[in-house]
Amino acid sequence: MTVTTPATLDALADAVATTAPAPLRIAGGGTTRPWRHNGAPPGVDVIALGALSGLTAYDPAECVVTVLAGTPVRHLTDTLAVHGQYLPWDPPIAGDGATVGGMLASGLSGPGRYRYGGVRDFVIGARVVDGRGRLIASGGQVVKNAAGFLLHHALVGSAGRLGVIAEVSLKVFPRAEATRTLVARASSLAGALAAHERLRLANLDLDALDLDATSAVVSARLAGAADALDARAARAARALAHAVETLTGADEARHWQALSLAAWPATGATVKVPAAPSRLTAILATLMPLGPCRLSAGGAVAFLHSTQPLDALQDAFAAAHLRGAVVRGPDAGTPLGIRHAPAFADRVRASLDPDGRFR
Amino acid sequence: MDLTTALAAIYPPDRLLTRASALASYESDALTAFRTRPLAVVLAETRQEVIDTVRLCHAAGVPFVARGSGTSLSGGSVPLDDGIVIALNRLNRIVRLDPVDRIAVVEPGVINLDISAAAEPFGLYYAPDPSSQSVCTIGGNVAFNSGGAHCFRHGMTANHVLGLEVVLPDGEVVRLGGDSVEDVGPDLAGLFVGSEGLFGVALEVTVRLLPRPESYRTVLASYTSLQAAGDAVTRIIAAGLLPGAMEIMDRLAMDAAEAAVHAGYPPGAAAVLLVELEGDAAQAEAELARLSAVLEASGPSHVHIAANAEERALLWKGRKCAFSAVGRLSPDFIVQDGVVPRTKLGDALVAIEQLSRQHGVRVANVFHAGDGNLHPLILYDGREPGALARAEALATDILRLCIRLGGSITGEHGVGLEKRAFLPEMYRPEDIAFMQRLRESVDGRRLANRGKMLETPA
Ligand SMILES: Cc1cc2nc3c(=O)[nH]c(=O)nc-3n(C[C@H](O)[C@H](O)[C@H](O)COP(=O)(O)OP(=O)(O)OC[C@H]3O[C@@H](n4cnc5c(N)ncnc54)[C@H](O)[C@@H]3O)c2cc1C
Repeated sequence: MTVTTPATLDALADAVATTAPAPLRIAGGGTTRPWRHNGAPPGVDVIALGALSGLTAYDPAECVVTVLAGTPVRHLTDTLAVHGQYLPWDPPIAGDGATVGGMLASGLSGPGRYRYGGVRDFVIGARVVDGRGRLIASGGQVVKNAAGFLLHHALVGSAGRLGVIAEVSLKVFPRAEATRTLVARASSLAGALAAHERLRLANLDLDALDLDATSAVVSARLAGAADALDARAARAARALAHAVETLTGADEARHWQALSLAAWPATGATVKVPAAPSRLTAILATLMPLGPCRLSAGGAVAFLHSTQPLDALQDAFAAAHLRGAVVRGPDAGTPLGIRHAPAFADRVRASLDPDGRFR
Repeated sequence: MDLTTALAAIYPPDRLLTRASALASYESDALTAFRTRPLAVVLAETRQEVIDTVRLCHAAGVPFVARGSGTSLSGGSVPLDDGIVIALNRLNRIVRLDPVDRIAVVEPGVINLDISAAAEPFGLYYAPDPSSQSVCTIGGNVAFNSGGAHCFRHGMTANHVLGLEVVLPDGEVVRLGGDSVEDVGPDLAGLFVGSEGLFGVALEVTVRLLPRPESYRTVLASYTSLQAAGDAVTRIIAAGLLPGAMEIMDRLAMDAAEAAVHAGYPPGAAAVLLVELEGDAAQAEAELARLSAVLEASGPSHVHIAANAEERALLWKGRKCAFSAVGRLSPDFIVQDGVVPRTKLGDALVAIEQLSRQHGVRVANVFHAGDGNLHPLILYDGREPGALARAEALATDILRLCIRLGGSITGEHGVGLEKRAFLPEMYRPEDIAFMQRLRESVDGRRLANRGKMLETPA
């Protein structure tokens, strides 16, 4: 096994080309797959992206940033914050050295995805190194672009299986002037789901809407002009129809941190399940026996943390006709439950990785 | 058995067109410069017919092109003379509209605006709003990743398509994505969008619906120069505002719109900026105060806040009809579509003005300022010798300007036939080579929409 740590895009392309045809693993920050450099299986070469770090271009007035894949997410969000901007989808795994490339490859979005969309909605371009060491660009650095195939879209959720993400261009937004979070503790899951649904349907322009199924707690965040928040929070509280705790500042930040995926241990399996409001009761009935779970983005997605063996998860998902994937833990990248016919995916992969190196 | 005979086994005679007179309306799309008569046109009414047609074409090695309403402005739906047109207009059922999950599952021939009309009773709408939305189909929108006036905040078609059922060019049927805004695995639905029909035919499209904003606040500011209007946009973004739409029109475009709909644009202004805030009523009101302050500081000659829904509708009507209204100013015109980084809008407009003078060709400017998407309308009279050539030369110069400024050769109309020669100017040879490999991998026989996007004109 060799570990290469290229510091430039050309060096990255070279590293992929010269290790051919050995299977490759890409190490970002190692926050979703905890094997880091030394845990790769025998015969597998590792390319570590830690040295490929920094912002390539950032003009705040443009609301576009281009960043190398090994850049820590935290560094990116800190830089944006200086200019009053942010990543609206709240990357859920941002600390511990999580990288921008990993953020794209894992395709994970946090609670903020509720309002303006997820990571898929903000990627406007990328450069990727394919299995033969070729550096390929798609998209660009403008927010609107219909020229050529949108390969950068396919990198979202690709879990390192299509190529090495080398650089990413993102649309970013101005951060809201103020935020406020309402927390309601229901006495039962059914009560929490009902409150969650009332909020979702109330057209309140919520910034985030999550439900912790295990504790029956609903959390709703408002963001916007400071002088409008009182009126908006009052409306949201009425829709919740529960005793409400209002959080701001550091308490608010801590509350969302505790709800984040990152608060679960990196061991075991963190599982993502695409969901829909009309199916929540059924989905939770499948997931809750497997471990603690949460709903995010107004019930569009469920997250589960489970210490059950992978086979047990597979069986449970298949039996319930659910589609999911392990997104964090030793089995990160493993799909669960029902799968789509692979013809298109296979053809896309063949064009990028004809030798099957990214496994 | 030849292909037309085989097709006759699937389609009744009135849905398999082979006579010259019947084929005429399928020879071109909204970009009339390209025109080719196809071998045959099939008017599909079911998914299975589309699948069977693609399989027959594949077996016979005959190229095919899907066609929605034929409003492509880049020649995207123009057929080949030895090819088949698969017309999808009749595949226009809304299969399912779920107001709880806020999704619609539709066939590809459904008209963009019909989705919003069906969603309206539930307080929902489909966000992407190309100006052609009352006629263009969702299948065409998917192929071109169509945009509209709300892309900076809401994104393009790719951001609203959650799942697809697709027949690949060899007849294999696959599902991409799902029915939730969150999916697992690579975002393949997002890759299919914008592929200009080269990856096969979309048979079913699942889109997300958004709740109608509780409140809109629409403001029209007029300026004595285009540049000042462009600068105001930069100020608005710098102030941390996130309007749903920001549109600019120059004098010529306003004159055309006025003649068509009397939208009430100020007569003396060189440019107007239309800004629309949307969302929760209290929030929109608070933003309006901030927006007004920013606009006041941007040196406008006049600021008007739409007092009610009727005034708002009128302001938008003028903007939406600007393309077609320009027909009143000139017998012929080219609609160009290019993108520059938003902060370079001012530079781009000055350069376009210079180019216009240099070529002696009039240009009316209408554009999506929030996302740097320019739509210069290049006016000419086709009866005048050399006029078309001059207009095309100007159109080309504008595209090169967009590339030079770090933008794109198309924001929403696609590459199609029209811009094939420019794709290699925007991307490096390695990038184009990858696109070729991907296309080969998906469609080894190059049957799906052969001749478009990746094939350089002879
Ligand atoms: C007056 C006017 C204004 C316009 N304004 C805008 C605008 O504001 N924004 C914008 O983005 N565009 C605009 N357009 C361009 C055009 O309307 C869009 O590109 C639209 O998406 C095309 O839809 P259509 O149904 O007419 O598709 P067609 O023109 O029939 O086809 C377009 C392309 O899509 C492919 N295609 C069609 N259906 C399918 C399918 N089911 N599966 C795979 N491929 C398919 C075709 O092969 C072709 O390549 C405008 C056009 C006009 C004439």
